[in-house]
Amino acid sequence: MVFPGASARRRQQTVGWLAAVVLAVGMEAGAGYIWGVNRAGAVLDAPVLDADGVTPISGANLRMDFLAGPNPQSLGVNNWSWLGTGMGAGYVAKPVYVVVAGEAGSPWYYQVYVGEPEADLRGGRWVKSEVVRVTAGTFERPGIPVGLKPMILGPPRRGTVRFRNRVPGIVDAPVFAADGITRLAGGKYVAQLHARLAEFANEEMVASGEPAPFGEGASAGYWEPGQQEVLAITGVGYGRRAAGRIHVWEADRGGTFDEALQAGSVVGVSDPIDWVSGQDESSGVPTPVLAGLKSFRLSEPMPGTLDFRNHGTGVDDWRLRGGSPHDPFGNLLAAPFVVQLWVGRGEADLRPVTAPAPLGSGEQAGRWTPADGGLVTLTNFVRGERVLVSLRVWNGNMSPTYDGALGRDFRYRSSVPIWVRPGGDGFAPPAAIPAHRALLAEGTGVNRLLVQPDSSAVVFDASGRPLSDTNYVAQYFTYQGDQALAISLPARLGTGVHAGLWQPTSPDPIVLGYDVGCCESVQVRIWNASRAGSFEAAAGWPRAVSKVVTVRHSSPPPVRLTPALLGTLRLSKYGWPMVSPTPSALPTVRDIEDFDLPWDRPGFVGRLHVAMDGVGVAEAFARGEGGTPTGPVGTIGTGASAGVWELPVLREIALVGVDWPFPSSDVEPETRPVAWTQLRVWEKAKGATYAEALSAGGVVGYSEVVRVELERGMFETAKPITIEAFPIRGRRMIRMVPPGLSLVSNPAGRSATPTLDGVLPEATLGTRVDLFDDESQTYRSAVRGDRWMGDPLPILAPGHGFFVHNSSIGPQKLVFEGLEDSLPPLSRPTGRPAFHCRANTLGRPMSFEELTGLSPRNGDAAFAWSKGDWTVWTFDFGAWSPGVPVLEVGETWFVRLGPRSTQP
Amino acid sequence: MNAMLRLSATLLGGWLVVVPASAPGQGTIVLGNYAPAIGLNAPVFGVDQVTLVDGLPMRFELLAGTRPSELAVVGSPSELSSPGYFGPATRVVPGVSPGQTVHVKVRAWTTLDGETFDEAVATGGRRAESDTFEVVAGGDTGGGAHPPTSAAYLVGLRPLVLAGQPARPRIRSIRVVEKGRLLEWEGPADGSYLVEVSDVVPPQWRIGGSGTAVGTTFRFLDDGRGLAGPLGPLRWYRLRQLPL
Repeated sequence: MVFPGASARRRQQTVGWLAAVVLAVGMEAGAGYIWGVNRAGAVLDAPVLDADGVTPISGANLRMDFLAGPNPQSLGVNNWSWLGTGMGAGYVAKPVYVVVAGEAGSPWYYQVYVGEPEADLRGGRWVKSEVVRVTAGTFERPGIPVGLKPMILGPPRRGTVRFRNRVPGIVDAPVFAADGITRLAGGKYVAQLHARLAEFANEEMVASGEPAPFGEGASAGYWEPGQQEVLAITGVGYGRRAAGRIHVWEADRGGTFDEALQAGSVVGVSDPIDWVSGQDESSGVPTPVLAGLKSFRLSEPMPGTLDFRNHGTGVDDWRLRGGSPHDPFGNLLAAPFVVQLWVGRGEADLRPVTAPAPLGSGEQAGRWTPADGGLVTLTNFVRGERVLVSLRVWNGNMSPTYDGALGRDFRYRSSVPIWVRPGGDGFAPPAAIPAHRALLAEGTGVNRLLVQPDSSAVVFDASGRPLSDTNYVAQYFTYQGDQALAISLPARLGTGVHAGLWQPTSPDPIVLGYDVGCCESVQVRIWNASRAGSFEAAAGWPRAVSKVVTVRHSSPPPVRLTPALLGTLRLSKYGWPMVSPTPSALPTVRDIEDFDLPWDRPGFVGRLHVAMDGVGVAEAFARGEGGTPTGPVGTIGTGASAGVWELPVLREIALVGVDWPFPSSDVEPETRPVAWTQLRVWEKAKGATYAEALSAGGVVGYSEVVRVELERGMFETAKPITIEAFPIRGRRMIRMVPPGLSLVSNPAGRSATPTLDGVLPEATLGTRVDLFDDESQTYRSAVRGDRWMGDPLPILAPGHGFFVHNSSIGPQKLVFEGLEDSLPPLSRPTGRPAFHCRANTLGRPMSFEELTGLSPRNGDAAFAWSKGDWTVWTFDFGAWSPGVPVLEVGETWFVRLGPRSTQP
Repeated sequence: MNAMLRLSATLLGGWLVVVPASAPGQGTIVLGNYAPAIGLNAPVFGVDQVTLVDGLPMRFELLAGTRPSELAVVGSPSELSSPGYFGPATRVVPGVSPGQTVHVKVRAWTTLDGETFDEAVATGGRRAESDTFEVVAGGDTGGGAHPPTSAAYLVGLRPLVLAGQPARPRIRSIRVVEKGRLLEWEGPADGSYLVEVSDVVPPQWRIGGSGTAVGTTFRFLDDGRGLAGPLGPLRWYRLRQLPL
């Protein structure tokens, strides 16, 4: 049956849809496009520059907003991107479209904003371009804001305060010693401002400026701000209301308040004050003073106090509300919910420090009444110490404890922890703990998940026998993402007939949390509790894990964790993943120059080094740096065994220190964790370790970096890795080149192939190298962009000289590896003189003859580059002028050799 | 490189300076577009004008001469060494002395659209050409009195923008093979193609399939089993290049 009007409604809907389509098409047809860029071909070049007007700003966290509008007064952010880095510094990292509601060809106004996050609020750096006119284009050919000019990023616009505790007529707040009488004097004590934006009460106050010493005599009790009387406040912008406290401590106990506190310093913290921050002095705006600051005194370390009272009656911010994290304005919470204060030095360390406080009802909903008056003395935390606090809320009818409520009622939550500093009587006021909105996630609950531990699973030792060691414990875990959370207490394993078995600590099912998707992952972990207090901390000792059991949201009844589900529980032989290095077919260690020859010198040893993957780790390994040694030290053989890394028969090497993450699923992850390994060889006489030998100038060598994808099986069976043959590198020689132009050279007479990356590992953007090529009598160039560029890339071979154009403001490091040795003799050219650029490769002063292998002849010359000029020695009429040249250690010469035909 | 010759007072006062005769050297220039410390940063952009050229097989060649109207290609071309940047590669300019002012130009093109710049121009392919500007050739030895100065960088080069379209594909052959008929064509490796077929005249085109690429050579095997349908005695083929 069709109701009257139904078809009419359908028609209306159809018409509506058509209208919408037409409208959409019409809008598309009317759209114009502009590039969100500050560089385009040769028509636009408007980089973001530093204050010097030359240096491009490198992106990092700088955002670019592109504003557009039909007139200069109505510009709005249309699209955004980030500033680029490296060679792209100063320019947009990725061009974006700015879409405007006008036909292609229509005029628009356009502006670029570049700034640090919340720059205006936090006093960060930012700049806005001039507003320019731009003609909108089509999608295929967007308009280009050709009128943009380069932009100079402004200085930080951090708000200011006059950092004094005595300003006649406004503030007079001397600081006293613990006796309350003696004024602090001299440099023994220092004062520093800690502040934050007043509107963000949950944020931690951070230090601004340097600690200031106290004055003496009539100025005792007052700190001397020195150059920072007008103090820029970290994280607070111009004209923003700031809240702060003065922190005072013993200067010789630490460079910061927290360091000093840890070292047992007597400290003092003022009451909090707030002010509207000023601008820099050049603005002419009067700088605010610390008005309202009161005198305070120091205190010996004493237990601190927190204020757990429900402040701010009538202020909603101090009421507890329900609602998901995305709905912070949920209903006020009421009984039977309770709230409890948890405190710790880190999230894993949070513990309850109060009794649960019941929440009120009706008018009092959202407020709580602490059972003990609300001032909480923390026996484990001293006044002024950084303390992490969190509020926890749950249904008090379900359980007297927060942990007990987990899973019994889906409505529970802990607040986001914040850092506070406890106060105390005669010290600073106790830090008040603000309530948090969005403490509860209502209405998102699901059925409880129950798992029933099973005591029939047997744990075996590494040899396959039931584990008979009561030091071992078993514990159930679940996962949040890849983070494992314990869901039971550790249970000890038995002996005798109970060998390999553990008795669950409670016969009750384990109740899991609610706020998960379809299911939970559960795992049993076994470790030696006499070695460490947790499974993670027991890394390096034999451990075992079960399969990951997936428990779906279908319980009850509880899912029984049977041996079939858990799989074999067998202790690893070692606690670290293992590798088994297989040397290459060739003897592993090869001659420094002739790769066909094995390294055949006595007194060399080798050891594997390892590190987990991380930023810069692979690059450091490529230079034979970083990582830690692991496994046995093996001798490098000589004679018939020359170049062979002689390991013990058992070639299994545990990768000690490799942090083995246990994934939350039995499915092998697509991306496995990676460790880097490398065989490093050194001169034993120069040190017991590679690092010692390296720093003592010993001859060393290192293999290519071996990438090892970690697998679960590596605990039981060593994963084979292949160490390819590699040459000895020689001694490491460091040279520093100052800014500007320097003539340097590879000081080794023999070395493996040196690359630009190896020699100039820290080259800055724009660094250039010009290597002189004897054959062509020209230079081969390379320039450092996002990587070294050159066609072809020059090889900085032994003894070869080259110019380095260091365009940075500081010195740059050059790293050479090799052995001292004489270079092959040069030969005289035919036809006309030729230049050669050579280094001192003997490690002692060298003569012209030693450098070239030739006797000087008339017309020969030597050139040394010094401070932008050539110093010249010429050989004419059978003698050197102005004297016999000597090439000192570390120096480089150009030599000019006359042709054969000119010789007498 | 500042290559001033400093001679000691002893040398100047007491000895005759003997500088060996030296044949004039040849001027050198660095074919490259990045040396920010001396003011060279002239990237090459794609046809959209704002994206640095990347992922295309590019060639960059230097043209130089003593007169703007007589520029000749110098040495071999260089390639992309980083997105938007080429070289640096030192080039010796024949017939030009060190220290001499030289007129130079850079040409760029993708070999997808032509083996040479002229070929890319002929096909309407993606290429760019700089203005002609002047540099002073490097390699000066002061007549042998000091080591050569470094080669001259192309300071004055401005950013380049590719113009043109991917070259049109060229049918190489249509031949009968054991499994059916094989259509082969040459075209830009980054191009997308559609083969259409018709079994009637006048043609009623329908989609036959796309090709498989080996470099810049594409193949489409019509074995009568794909979208094209069963093979008859006569079949027409049409190749379409899809927009990038």
